[in-house]
Amino acid sequence: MNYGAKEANSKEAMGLVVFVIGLVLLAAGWAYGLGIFQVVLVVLGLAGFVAGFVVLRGAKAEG
Amino acid sequence: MLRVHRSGGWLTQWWLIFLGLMLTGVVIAGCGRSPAADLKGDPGGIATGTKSDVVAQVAGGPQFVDKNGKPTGDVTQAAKDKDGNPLSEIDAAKDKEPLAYSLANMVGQNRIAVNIVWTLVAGFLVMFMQAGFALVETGFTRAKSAAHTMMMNFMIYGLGMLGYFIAGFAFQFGGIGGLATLGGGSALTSAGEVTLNIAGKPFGLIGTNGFFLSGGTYDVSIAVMFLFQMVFMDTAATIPTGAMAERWKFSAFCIFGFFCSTVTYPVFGNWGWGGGWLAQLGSNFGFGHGYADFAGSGVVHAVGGWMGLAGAIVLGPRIGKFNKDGSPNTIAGHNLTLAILGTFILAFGWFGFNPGSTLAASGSGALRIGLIAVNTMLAGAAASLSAMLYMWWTKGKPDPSMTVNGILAGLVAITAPSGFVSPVSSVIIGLIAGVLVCWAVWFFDNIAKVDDPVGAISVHGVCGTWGVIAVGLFADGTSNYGGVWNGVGGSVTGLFFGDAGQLVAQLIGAITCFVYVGGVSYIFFRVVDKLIGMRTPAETELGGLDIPEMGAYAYPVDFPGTGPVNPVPASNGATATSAASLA
Repeated sequence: MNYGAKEANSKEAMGLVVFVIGLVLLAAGWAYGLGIFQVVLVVLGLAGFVAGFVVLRGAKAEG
Repeated sequence: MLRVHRSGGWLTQWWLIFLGLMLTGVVIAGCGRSPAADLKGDPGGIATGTKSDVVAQVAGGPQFVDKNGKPTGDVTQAAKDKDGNPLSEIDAAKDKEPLAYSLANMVGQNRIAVNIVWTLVAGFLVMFMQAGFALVETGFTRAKSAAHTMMMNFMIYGLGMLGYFIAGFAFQFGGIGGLATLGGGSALTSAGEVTLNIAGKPFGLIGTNGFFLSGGTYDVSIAVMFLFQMVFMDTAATIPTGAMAERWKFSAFCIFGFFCSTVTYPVFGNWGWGGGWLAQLGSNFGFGHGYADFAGSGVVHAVGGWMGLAGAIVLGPRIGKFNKDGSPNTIAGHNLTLAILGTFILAFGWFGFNPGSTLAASGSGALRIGLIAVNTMLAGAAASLSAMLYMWWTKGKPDPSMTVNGILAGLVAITAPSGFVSPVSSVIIGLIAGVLVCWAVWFFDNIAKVDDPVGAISVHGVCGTWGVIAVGLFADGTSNYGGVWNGVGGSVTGLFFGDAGQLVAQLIGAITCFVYVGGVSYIFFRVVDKLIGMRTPAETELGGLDIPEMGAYAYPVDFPGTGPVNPVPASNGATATSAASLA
């Protein structure tokens, strides 16, 4: 077993950052009225969710 | 890699389709509502608490009536003139009696100030319960994963809080219709509740005001409500970290923190506390006062317990918990001292949890806070005694870990009834909870084969459900709270005091909690498991999660039980522990 550096995986942090940004954009888009700006925010937010999971899945494959 | 106890299949797919349809419907129904965006809040705190918040005894004034039209005897309400206009005589005296007018405003603001200070202090106490949970869960688990267990309990505070700020609070309370005891909150207008109308009956599903505490919800009253409710949500969110300890991948836990605080908890919280359909069971169908959960045996504790159950099932048991024949092994925790200290902190914090749930200390029957505090103490004490005696009788020793879980079980069970029952009933509720938690731990170990390292599912899920049911049995009809609860006049009264309908409402709430929270959480954990993995590799679990997951030991490397000794020379002034994290 090799503890420490081998398991260090910054990609997990990247995935979580993207995920949180997606959550914030989605909530902001949903909360404030209907308009093109809000639709863009919702789409970006959903994309952030998906991207976050993709990055985290990539981190799993490397771990 | 060792994989254990996995299950799933067609049921999961149907749940996913159901969940997707439900979410799509809610998004379409709620998108763009947010009426609070156009309303003004009171961020300066200068308009909150006025003469209209003065509570006075108005002889001969209109009385509240119960559902049968009988006067409840309650004459405590906002002062009104004989025509029912609020304090119009004081309005008329504004020029002739300016001092009286100012005094009325000051009395109103002082009343609201008392309520706000009380609610904030109670919220601070509940926040400190996070420390109690951290110590209890870490003490009941092994030293080799102590940093990981501590870190989960620590970070759920930040993760959960931000999720609740972003969307959770809006979903839970965004349509509650105002916060009378805190002097305002009108931006949480009931127009913000997404409601289904079936056969002429409204079914509140989810709120939509208060995202990011912005717009009209940038307001002093709403901020107090947010703080108090946020720490409640965090209490629920930290419960699964105990049930899923010692094998939960940290990144998956982080995703859970956001999901729990934005979806799982707030939606059920809306149904029970935010004016949703469970709270409307009384006004819609005559089931007592609707689902009545004073401080959260169901909304907080059962939600946490059932989330933990779903997670523990998806994760599977720790390596070594069950033998090949299915019989369970005891995996002892590493520090009973920590666990008992944490329990005392939790019991202390519960004095904020239950009495603080009045959201008031002045007017409208809020002085019952003294009784609520006593009920809380008594139930915890009774449950610790019954758990200790039960274990002593059946196993020959007064098992400290089960005694600790006993007091927590009593505190959890009295959380919903604390505002509605007598001290004698509290003791009975606690005595039952103390034995119930022992049976539940045995059941999950021996029958369900679910590995719950700290007993969180038994304490919070099972005894939380018992607390919800206990309201429907023991509520004695003496509480007031303004003479109305969930829109139904009169006092919450259980089966033993004459209202069988209340028990029906409680049973519906308890079953809904299990089905909704258990189902949604199970789907969520399965999806996360599929996408990024929920469980740490077997070699990580065997060696302890501290270095592989956290990069740091909780204790010095030569501390007994701190995983495989992997000494790292301390250099450059670094401690052995911190140096290990850099290795």
